[in-house]
Amino acid sequence: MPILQKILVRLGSSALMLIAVSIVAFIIVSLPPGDFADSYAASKISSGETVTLAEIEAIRRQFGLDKPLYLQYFKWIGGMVQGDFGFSWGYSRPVTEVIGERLPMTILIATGTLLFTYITAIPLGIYSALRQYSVADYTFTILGYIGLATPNFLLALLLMFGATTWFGVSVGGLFSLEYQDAAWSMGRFWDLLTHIWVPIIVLGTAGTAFQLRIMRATLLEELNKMYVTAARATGLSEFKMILKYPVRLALNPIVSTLGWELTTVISGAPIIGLVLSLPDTGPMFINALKSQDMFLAGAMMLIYCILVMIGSFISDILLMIVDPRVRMGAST
Amino acid sequence: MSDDYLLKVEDLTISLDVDNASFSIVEGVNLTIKAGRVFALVGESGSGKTIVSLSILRLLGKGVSITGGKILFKDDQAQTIDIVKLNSKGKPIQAIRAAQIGMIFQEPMSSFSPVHTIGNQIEEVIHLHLDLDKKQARQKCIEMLGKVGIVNPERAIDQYPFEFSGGMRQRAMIARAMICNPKLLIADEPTTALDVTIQAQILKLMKDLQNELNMANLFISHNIGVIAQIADDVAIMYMGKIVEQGPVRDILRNPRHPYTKGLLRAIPHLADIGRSRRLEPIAGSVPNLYERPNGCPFAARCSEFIENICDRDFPKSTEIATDHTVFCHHVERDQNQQNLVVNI
Repeated sequence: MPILQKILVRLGSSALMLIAVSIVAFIIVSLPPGDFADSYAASKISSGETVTLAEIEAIRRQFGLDKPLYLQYFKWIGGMVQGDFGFSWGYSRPVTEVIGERLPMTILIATGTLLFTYITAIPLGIYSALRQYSVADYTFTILGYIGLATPNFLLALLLMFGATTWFGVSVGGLFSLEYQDAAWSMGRFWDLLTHIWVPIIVLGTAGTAFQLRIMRATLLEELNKMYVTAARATGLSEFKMILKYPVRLALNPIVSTLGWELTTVISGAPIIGLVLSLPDTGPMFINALKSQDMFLAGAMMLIYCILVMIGSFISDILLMIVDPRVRMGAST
Repeated sequence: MSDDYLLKVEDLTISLDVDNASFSIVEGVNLTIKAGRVFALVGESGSGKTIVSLSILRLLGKGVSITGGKILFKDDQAQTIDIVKLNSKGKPIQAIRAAQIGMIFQEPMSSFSPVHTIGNQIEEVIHLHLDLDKKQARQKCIEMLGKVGIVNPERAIDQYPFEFSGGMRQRAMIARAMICNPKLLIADEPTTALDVTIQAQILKLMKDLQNELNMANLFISHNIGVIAQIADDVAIMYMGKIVEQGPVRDILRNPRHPYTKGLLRAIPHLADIGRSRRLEPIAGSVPNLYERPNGCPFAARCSEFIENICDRDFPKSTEIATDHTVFCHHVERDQNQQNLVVNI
């Protein structure tokens, strides 16, 4: 099958997937008992005001919450298609605005985390495999297991604690106070860099440890294969030979888990965003879920899904690039 | 023996390290390969023949190392190099690999990287050893692919190994090993993984190329039938030792070592079809590597076993005809008696 056709088929299945995911996302945000009108009333009452039943009904009618679920879905998805993501009741602003100002940070953190993961894991994995059972190999292994076993939020708290007590810097958020609302400048960008490494390390450590183990195991397996000896027999230098042949083949499982790795990062991000009080979509998403701000929560859930789908799409394309067997649909 | 050798292996010993213990897997092997001749190394699986062939290019894997002896190779400047003394990851051995000694492996299916084109993997050898530009290298590669009998080499050069059949891959492997015109080609069971008709084609191809390029060939096999077709000289290995060697006609017509005799008896003959002759297997099985017997390694399975002699020392070499030597106490004793008769 020609490559272009494969990509088109892949895109088509992604589109179908997207529809299915939007339905699931909508059902999930509608699942909790009660609706926004109820939680609005509850918050009014808890702050000492009185709300009449008629008022609650009025809100419900105003937002179409009295209609059956499937009608609400079609109204919601119809708006989506036209770029109208609905209105966030919690923020009293259109969802597009609320998400729009936070999404770039989320994408930045996710991309940064993936880059960190692969840039660290691949060379360390190669080194570990080539120096199997050396001190460095054992060190990476131990650090890796600790990285895998430590819950992200704990790591976040430890890093924050360490940074404040030993280095006297505040690592919460993504900007220092003076740059919080400033316009973009070199200074602000630098300030961002000094903060963003914390969520990146927190989100990336487990993945790095995991990918390092995969790289090490696959490379060790590849190194024993006949084509490696055959390549050595051509007189190629050891370093070039290892990079060109076994490492190239050992990249396959790494590339194919890219989409999956992104899923882990994205699903881990909201909690970390909350712990580190990041100005990204994480804390906003959690608040929206709590206050049943369903258009905001639904849109965000859909966007997370889209990000994961883009990730696995990229991973599939990359796999086609690195492995001609995948590209050409060969069996061996 | 005169000095007209291309590769001479002297007293080669190779050991395997397992958990702080070391076991010899090849012991005291002597071989002489002359320019332009085909030398066959024959033995059962595990006899150490592949290990010997890998050691010549210093390709032994982890835990396997040369612990004694020399591998003398006369390079293209007529200098003698002891390959054992070279660093297995150094430049000098890399300059010998493929340029002067090429190698073909047993498994054509796995000897190529599946994610690089055949052309890429052959042209790489050209760029490593010959001073040709990209276009010339590609041209040379296409010519070579044509020469080894690959149909439509212009197309094949850009194909991947998985698009090739087993026989085609082995042809491509031969092209890769011979592209720099080496003086010696090591072929480690090059036809074992192929079906019989393809085997015959590959053997003919190797023989033709060997004649055309006047190359020497170290041919590793367990198949005596194949050896009879292709070899000039042959050495029989058993448990890491050579037990008999000599010109192929001498060995096949007048085998003297009981193991060689056993191997030859175990070959099925076409003439026996329909008759009630059974194949004669060699009794017993190869002893465990870790329990190498003291004397002759074949003693335990030998029909001509002499007590208190065969199980004591490894026999000395006995030359029974020109270049035909046998390591067997029995043969040694016969020869001594004959000499005695002659002397009287």
